[in-house]
Amino acid sequence: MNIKTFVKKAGPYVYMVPAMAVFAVFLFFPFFKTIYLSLYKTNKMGQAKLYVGLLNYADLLNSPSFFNSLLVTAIFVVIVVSVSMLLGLIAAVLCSKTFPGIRIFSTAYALPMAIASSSAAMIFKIMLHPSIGIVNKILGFHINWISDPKYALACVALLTAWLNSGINFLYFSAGLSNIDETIYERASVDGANSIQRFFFLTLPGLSPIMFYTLVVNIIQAFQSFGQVKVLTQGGPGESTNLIVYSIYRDAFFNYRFGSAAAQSVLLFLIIMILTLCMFRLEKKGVSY
Amino acid sequence: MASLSFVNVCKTYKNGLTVVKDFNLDIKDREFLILVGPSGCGKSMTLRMIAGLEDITSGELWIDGQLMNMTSPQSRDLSMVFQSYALYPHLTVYQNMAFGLKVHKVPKDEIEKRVGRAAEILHISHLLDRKPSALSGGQKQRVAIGSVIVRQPKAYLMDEPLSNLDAKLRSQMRVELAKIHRELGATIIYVTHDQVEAMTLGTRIVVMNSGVIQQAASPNDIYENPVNKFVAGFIGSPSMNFFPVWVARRGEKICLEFGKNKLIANEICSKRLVEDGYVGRRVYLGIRPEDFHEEGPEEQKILFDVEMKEVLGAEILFHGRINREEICVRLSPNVKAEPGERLPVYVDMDRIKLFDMDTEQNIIYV
Ligand SMILES: Nc1ncnc2c1ncn2[C@@H]1O[C@H](COP(=O)(O)OP(=O)(O)O)[C@@H](O)[C@H]1O
Ligand SMILES: [Mg+2]
Repeated sequence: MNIKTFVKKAGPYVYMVPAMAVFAVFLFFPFFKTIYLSLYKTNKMGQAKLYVGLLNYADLLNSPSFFNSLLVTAIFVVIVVSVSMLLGLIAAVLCSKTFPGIRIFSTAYALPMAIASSSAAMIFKIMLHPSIGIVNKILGFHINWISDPKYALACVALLTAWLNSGINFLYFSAGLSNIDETIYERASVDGANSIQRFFFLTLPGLSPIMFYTLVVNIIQAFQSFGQVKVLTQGGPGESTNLIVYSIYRDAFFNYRFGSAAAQSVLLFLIIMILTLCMFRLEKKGVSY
Repeated sequence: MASLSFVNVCKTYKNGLTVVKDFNLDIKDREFLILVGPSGCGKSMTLRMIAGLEDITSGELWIDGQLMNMTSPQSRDLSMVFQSYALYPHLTVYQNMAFGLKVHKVPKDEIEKRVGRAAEILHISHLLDRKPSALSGGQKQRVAIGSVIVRQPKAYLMDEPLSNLDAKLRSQMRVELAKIHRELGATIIYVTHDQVEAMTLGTRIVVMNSGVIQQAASPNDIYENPVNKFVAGFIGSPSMNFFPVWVARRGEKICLEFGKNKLIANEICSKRLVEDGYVGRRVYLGIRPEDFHEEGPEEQKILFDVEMKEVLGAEILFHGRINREEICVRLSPNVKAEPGERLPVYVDMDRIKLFDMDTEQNIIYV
């Protein structure tokens, strides 16, 4: 009897063990290890050697380079999120009508999702090449896109926006197919033109998925790495030194694992606070 | 307000299915036109073609003297109640009803006034702040009607707008719609399959079957003078009884015979039957349930086997058979007859209808 109740109570936890084990190894352990490391100075092997308390954080908050990273990341995230959502939305709205060849267009718009960011960056690097690149050839400019601090960040951001637009296209297409077709018919009989229909029906109808897409996009944008690594390596100067790239550089070039860990923790806090704020806003803002 | 004309309008789908065939109709200004017909006969399709939601395959649609085939729905200045309500899920009831006015740039206080009045008429004033997801079917339907009557378009299109209301509310709304029609002087095109709505609301009824107009006439005409067997059977509730009879000459008189029963046709019928050469042939005899009486002259008597009775209060419906043909008879409540009995009933011979066996056209149509 006793054993039976014990088994009954413990059963659910036993079922959860495999999943929890995976989480523990790949998520919880690195997470706590990072917090732990952020309180230490490390040796070149990344082993904690000297406990320094919050000194790593204090250093960061006094470092102009870190604030530059924050600023660059903020600009980058704004560009990436707005452009990629806009691209996804436009593509989805265009593809919501049926016409011959729609499959080809849908596939084309969703394709960026399937491309690895570093390989896309390689291709962009060639396209943006100052002398042989197709961009300069078509536009007739002689701009060194990725070596010019004025353009480098925009280039990386637009590349990322395009890469992320594929998944947004899918999200928005799903959202559009959830909107009842007859309300468009009623609106058109009511006298609403297509622009009014878009703003009065489509956008509000997408608002639930819009929010979700926004959160996913922001988190994704914060974590962009491959394209920076391949295209600009954080340069020229520090003009594209996104936080994630800066973490990578501190850890694996400068061997300052403590500082890198501290930056990771701060990045985690920023994303968490942003996400919480957005969930708060959602409760107020989203209709339905 | 407006007049509409259909000229040979057809609607054919890509798979070759013709849903509306050769539709010719003139709808006058201020008319309350009812489209009735069995489900799937193309009523909604006709309405949607007027609204511009469906392409017209061939033929012309004119509104106020202007060809409308190529005009987009938003430029037609119409207003439509959809069979599926089509409420905007993210807007409140108030915003739903105000939508059409808002896109037409009607001033705010005017919108408030009109929506308030419509909500009162439809008994939904207490629901104005709710979202459609928090409404019952009948409430949604009234919101849909409200969104339409707040506007003053060229014509109102209504697709079964009262189908989901309970009996009491439905009769109230019928009265309101009739009032609105009178007050606004509106042109209304109204789809229904409810007999009572069709007969009480319409200034004209169009009966459709498989996409073809059978008859377009005033409610009274449709009832008294149906053009064919389909219309006669479709209009009226319970519907008309049909049975095949022999037309025979007995001395001076023309008789309608079936089994042992014999009815003597009146003068008008006799003349038509003789002139059109029906003597000696079979025709369909049509008698409405209310055209049987419990008393009458002997030559109009037929014997009726009662199988079931429905007591409705002011009248009784008897279901049973005459000579193996199933029929329904409506009599006054003081007739005492029970299932199993044989009841003599008397046919009002001035009100019978006769239909050709092959074409099913009304032989005595005037
Ligand atoms: N997309 C379509 N393709 C083929 N047939 C259709 C289509 N839509 C509707 N129909 C047919 O058109 C006919 C008329 O439909 P409808 O006008 O809705 O009937 P109702 O008179 O009940 O309102 C129906 O028989 C229906 O099956
Ligand atoms: Mg219908």
